[in-house]
Amino acid sequence: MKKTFITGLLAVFLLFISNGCEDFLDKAIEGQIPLEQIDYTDTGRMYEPVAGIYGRANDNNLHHWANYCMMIFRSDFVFKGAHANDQPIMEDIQDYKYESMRNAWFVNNLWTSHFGLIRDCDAALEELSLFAKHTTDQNRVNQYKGEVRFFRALAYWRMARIYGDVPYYNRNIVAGALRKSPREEVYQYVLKELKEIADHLPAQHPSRLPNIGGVTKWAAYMLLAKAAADVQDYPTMLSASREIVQSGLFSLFPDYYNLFKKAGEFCDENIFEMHHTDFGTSTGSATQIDQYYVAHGIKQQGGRRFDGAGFNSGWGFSMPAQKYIDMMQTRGEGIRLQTAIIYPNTKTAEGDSIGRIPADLQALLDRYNAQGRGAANAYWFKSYLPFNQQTPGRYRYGGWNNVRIFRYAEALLLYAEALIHTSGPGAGDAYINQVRSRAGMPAISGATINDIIDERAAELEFEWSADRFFDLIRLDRTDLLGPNFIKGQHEYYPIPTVQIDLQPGLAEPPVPGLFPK
Amino acid sequence: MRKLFMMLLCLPLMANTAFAQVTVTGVVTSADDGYTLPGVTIVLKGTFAGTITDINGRYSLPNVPAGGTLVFSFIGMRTQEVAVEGRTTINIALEMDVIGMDEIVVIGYGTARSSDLTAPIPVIDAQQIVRNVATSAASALQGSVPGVQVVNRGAPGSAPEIIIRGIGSMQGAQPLYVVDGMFYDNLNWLSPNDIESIAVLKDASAASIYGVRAAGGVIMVTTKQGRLNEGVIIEYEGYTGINSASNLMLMSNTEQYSTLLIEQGSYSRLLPSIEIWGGRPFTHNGEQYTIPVTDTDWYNELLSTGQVMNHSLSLRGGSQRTTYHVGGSYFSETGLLKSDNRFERINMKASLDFKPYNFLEMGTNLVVNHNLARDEGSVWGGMYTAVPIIPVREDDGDFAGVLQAGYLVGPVNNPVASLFYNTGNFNITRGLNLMYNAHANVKILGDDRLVFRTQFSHQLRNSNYRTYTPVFYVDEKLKNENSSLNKGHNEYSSIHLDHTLTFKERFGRHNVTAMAGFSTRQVDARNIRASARDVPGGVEEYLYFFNSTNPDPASYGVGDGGFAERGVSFFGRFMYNYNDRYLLNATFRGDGTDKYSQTWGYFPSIGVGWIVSEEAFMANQNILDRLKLRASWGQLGNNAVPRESGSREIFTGFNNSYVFGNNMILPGYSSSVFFNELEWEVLDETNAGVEISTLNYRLFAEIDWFYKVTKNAAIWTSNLMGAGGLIRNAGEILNTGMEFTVRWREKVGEFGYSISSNLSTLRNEVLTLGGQPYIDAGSGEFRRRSEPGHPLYSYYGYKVIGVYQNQAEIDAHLDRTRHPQVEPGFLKYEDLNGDGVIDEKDRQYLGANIPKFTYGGQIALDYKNFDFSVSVYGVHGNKLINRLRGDRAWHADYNFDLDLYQNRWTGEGSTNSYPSAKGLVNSWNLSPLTSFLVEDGSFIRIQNITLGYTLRNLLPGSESGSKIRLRFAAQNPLAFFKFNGFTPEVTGQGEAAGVYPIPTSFVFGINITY
Repeated sequence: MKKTFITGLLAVFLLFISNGCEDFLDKAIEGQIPLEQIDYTDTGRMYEPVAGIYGRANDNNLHHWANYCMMIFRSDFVFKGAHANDQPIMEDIQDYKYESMRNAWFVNNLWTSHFGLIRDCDAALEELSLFAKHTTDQNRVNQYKGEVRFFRALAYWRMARIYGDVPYYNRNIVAGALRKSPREEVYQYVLKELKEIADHLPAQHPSRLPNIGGVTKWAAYMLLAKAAADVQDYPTMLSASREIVQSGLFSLFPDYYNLFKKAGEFCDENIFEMHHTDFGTSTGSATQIDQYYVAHGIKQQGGRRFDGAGFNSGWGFSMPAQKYIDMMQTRGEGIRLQTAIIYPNTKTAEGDSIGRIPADLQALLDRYNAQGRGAANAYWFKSYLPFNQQTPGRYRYGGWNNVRIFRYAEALLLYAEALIHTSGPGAGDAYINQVRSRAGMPAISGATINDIIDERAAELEFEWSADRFFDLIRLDRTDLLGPNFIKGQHEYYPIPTVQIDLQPGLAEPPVPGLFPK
Repeated sequence: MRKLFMMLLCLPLMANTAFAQVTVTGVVTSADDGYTLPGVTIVLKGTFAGTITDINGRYSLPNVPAGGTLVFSFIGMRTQEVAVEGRTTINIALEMDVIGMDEIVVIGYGTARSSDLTAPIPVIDAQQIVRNVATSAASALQGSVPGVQVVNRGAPGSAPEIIIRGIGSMQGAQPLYVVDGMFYDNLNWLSPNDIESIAVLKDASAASIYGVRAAGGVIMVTTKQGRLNEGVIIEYEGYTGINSASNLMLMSNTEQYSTLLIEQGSYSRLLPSIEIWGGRPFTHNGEQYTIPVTDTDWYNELLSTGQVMNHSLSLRGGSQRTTYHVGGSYFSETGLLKSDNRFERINMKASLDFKPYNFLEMGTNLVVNHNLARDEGSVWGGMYTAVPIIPVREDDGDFAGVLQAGYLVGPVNNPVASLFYNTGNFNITRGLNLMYNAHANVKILGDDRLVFRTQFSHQLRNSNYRTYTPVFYVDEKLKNENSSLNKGHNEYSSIHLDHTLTFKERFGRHNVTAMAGFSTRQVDARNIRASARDVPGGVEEYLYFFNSTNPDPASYGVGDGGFAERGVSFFGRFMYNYNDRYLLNATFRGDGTDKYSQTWGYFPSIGVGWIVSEEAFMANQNILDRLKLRASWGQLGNNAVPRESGSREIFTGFNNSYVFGNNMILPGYSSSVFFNELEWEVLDETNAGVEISTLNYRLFAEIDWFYKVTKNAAIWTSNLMGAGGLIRNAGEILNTGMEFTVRWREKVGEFGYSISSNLSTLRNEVLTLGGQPYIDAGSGEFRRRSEPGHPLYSYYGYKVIGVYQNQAEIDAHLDRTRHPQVEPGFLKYEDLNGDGVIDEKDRQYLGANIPKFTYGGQIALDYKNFDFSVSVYGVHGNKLINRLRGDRAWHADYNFDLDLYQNRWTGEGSTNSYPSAKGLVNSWNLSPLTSFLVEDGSFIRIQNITLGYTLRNLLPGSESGSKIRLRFAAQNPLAFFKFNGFTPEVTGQGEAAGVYPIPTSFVFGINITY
């Protein structure tokens, strides 16, 4: 009797164990929709990965304030401002002291923000391929892929410009196997990509696209011309810039000052811009623009506000060199100088008060000047947005103003420059003079490459591409960068230590043949 | 009243044991020293009838049949059976058990005699816990168990971090807490007064019975229960005391701060303060300066004395068939800040056990815990950064802002203002925990030879929080234009169902215990949170969303989340003992989880032991009272891996969408294209130990060696370009060390004393990383690197070998074209490859936050009615990163601690270890990590000094003898350390930022047992 009882109990016990374990354990993750569940047959959603890339690019990736510092502080026209103890390591940039920067967060941030975008683009292209199986509209697929590939090319171009030899990113590379490619191959890849996608992208003015401000054929040509110029591929530079100029779709915005204010958003001059908005409401969502304008904006005494009652000042990270102001004055510049520079203790055209330079920033400028560096007692002014153009209740320096990436004025200058390169001085006069005329400058003739360098500085300084330093490198005028710059040594930033730690192969010499041909 | 209560409890159980014969009385003493023994259990054999000796060792047991037999049992003593033979007085002396301290130890799904164990399982008893003030149950472990590192946290109500035998996992392996058979993640909810004992399963062979959750070791808590035939014991424990901050790091005052700025060439930073709040003359190096009049000591403005208070009352006891323990406690602690910064805990507990039949025991436990915490914000970092040249308030009473003084960006603020507004006294977290279990033991064979046990446990945790930031304006830097109110609710439910079948039998000299079990676990957690803006504040009762004045729907936010876990386990244990000499323990556990791609994991263990002193050849020696050798090996798994790994994800929402012109939002998504398949992370541990008792059991020593390897370690590996990463099984991590315990206990007349100490060593090393050369953690500025051959998370950077005293020294050491900014007074780094360039190739390992030794000790003295004890805890050989100083790499613009000022380089020969004032803010000395920022984390802390006085039998009418103990205690009165921070007790990978310091408490307490 007892034995039967025990045996029975054991049997029940075993039953407990064997029953339904696997079902009990088979539980989906709470609240997560796995990727596999995206319905790729619903091609109505096919634009979503593309919109995702625009979003990622507009996120801190392309407009991070510190990235911009890294780009612009090497120019001979810009000093590191703010005050001496704010991001003190950044002061080394302007003297090309790269050794102490290898470990700085901002060097790594510049790298990961761009390669992160490249990774996201690759993922988006894989998504588009999955949708593509369910549509016969190959033009649509190609256009969508083209938009994504444009951003990828933009990121690679910037990396090659900044770091020189950089790796080809491919998620299938096993850990530790990553190697750099020679800079020339990175550029060849960028040029090839842009040439391929140009024909897939809409040939309209971006402001007249259904998705206003989307990537067009002209944005691709613009990047193609700029990238070709970096590697002295003047035939490509010529043909790409000519396509834009001869398209007849673009024209110069008559008011140079307001081109950079609200009135100049999505105007006929803009070839590509990233849209930023707070939707005109004082609270709620707004696009991610980081501190792109704030960091480089006018630093007011005590952080005071323009109207004295509702507005944060900028941080004053970038400060102009007297050399720039002198050059502009010598040239007789009017509106372009007034748009680029403003002096302390003045009022803007819109009536906003600019106070004196705060003591700590002044002390830094005084130190620069004591060292004979020639800092100006003035502010950069292009990132300024008047108080009355901001959404009430949503005040920050520069506000949510579109970031102008490519302008028609630069297309004209690129075309003019390519003509000079291929046909000699004077060949580009007609196009330079279009740009000069809008700025109220007299026509010139027989323009040379040196004229181009100056004209670009007058027209384009302190904009997104931060071209001055790169112009001097590609056109071999690094003598203008001062004695601290050593040719052959200071063109490229060191690869961040953090990245070398992740991929030791990045410290080794570049290996040819890794980029797809 | 008490009788009525007893009647109610016992009513259903009134049984038919009425064979009134004689009443036996007597005194039980110890044969060893002749002292009376309180608490000895006396049971009439074969019945439930029994009693317990009172405080004077006396007992009285009515209704004993003249031919019956009494069984006397007591922990550590050999159980004796005495035939009554008609006597009415039986005095008896119990002998110490030959096996020594043969306590019954809770070992997971069962108990065992400590002599039968083959793994080290140290036990801390209630007395030891009560001797310390120990506001949290877990902190009672600090210093008392070798191999267990307890890192305290100072904030009120915060739980310490516990690391058992080193860090074996990169996924974090906190210990598993098992309280009365139920699993918990922490012991925050538990009142230390309710604890009977804490046992620590530190090695894999002991812990493997808990399989997958035991990778960090197991801390097993048994709460107080009534005992059969005990009568009624009422106990009150109360204490009250004060908390104060100690070992504060001194900061520079205005003169010192100004001096540093002048030497840095940044004198102009002082001008705004002078302009606004006034200046005074100051001479530095013979030059006249004006420096600010303002000189704020932020500690004075922010710190105050906290209070700690506890009341607990319990009633416990047992009759023939019932035991019970009911009680409640209230604990409150206020923090060290001048703000409503406190923690409160209210606990109610009830446990009841019934023995309705000989073959059946049933019982239930219920704990209700309510706690409330008011947060202090993170003001400690703000105290370090705040500069002395800013006043707390302006003349008109408003808080002074820092913007006007030129501190535009960076961490410098007015910490009094931010404490006042940002915590606002409106932030609160409340938790309600309900924990209960019901269990039944069915005794299938008599004498507990075959027992089936089933236990259902349920833990329900509810917490809700509220944070509120009012509208305030100090200046543009410290302001809030829209008030914001956030509320959230979290719910957590964990259900365990355990069944075990235990067989115990003695076959001649063969003792066998076998257990088989099955357990299921179901965890479900949900949370919901909401936020709104523009809710009027000022009064707590206003803080409801519907009071928001903002009409914009976008100003409201709502979110929810949750996770679930399912687990199924089966397990078994076999314990064999031959003639109390040869021991064999084996366990096996299979765990099924929904977490890993690999569902099932299997974890075996085996242990052997040899009690040498029982052998015949040892019989004729009297040097060693007891000698035991043991060795064990076991495996267990770690499931503390984030649930999300192993699947592909998409990200949607605003930042993955784009807004084209005309503000047209096109929805988008981006995807993570990395995914992986994870297997179990397995811990493999070997342990060998020896236990010795000698000098008539007065001296006890235990030595253990362990060698623990984490295999298949789940490691976060970075994807290419540092763009995210994922967890892969890659690598092995070793922890090995020795543990020593020595205890001396003696009683000389009325003077009793004990000295115990323990020491453990630890060596941590990464063995392999699955082909990766190393894995990095931390930011580039504060790099921690894990590389085979080095400890996990070792700091990695430049080693300071001095300070450049003059230009010639720089020129001899550095390539000046590559390092033009270096000046005398700057730190000199070791140039490993001697190329004159300091770059990443010159980085080296600078230590890790892993102590080489931890040690603890306690001296306890008893004389007549006095008792006195001192306990000490120390850690040696770990290194910490001083993040407070290190943050200057980002913002050089904040105050300097006094140490930096006093020891700075001021000219050739002044110092060879601290940089000059100028060097303090130069990039050369700020980035990357240098050994200047890596400091010794060793410390010695006097944890507790207690003096107690006990009055006995003061209160009449107690059934078991009454007792009143008064005590005065100092908790953490002194600590010795070199680290330049608020406390050297730093959790995690050793980055010490604004850490809440460990308070010093002085406490007066009273304990009444009736």
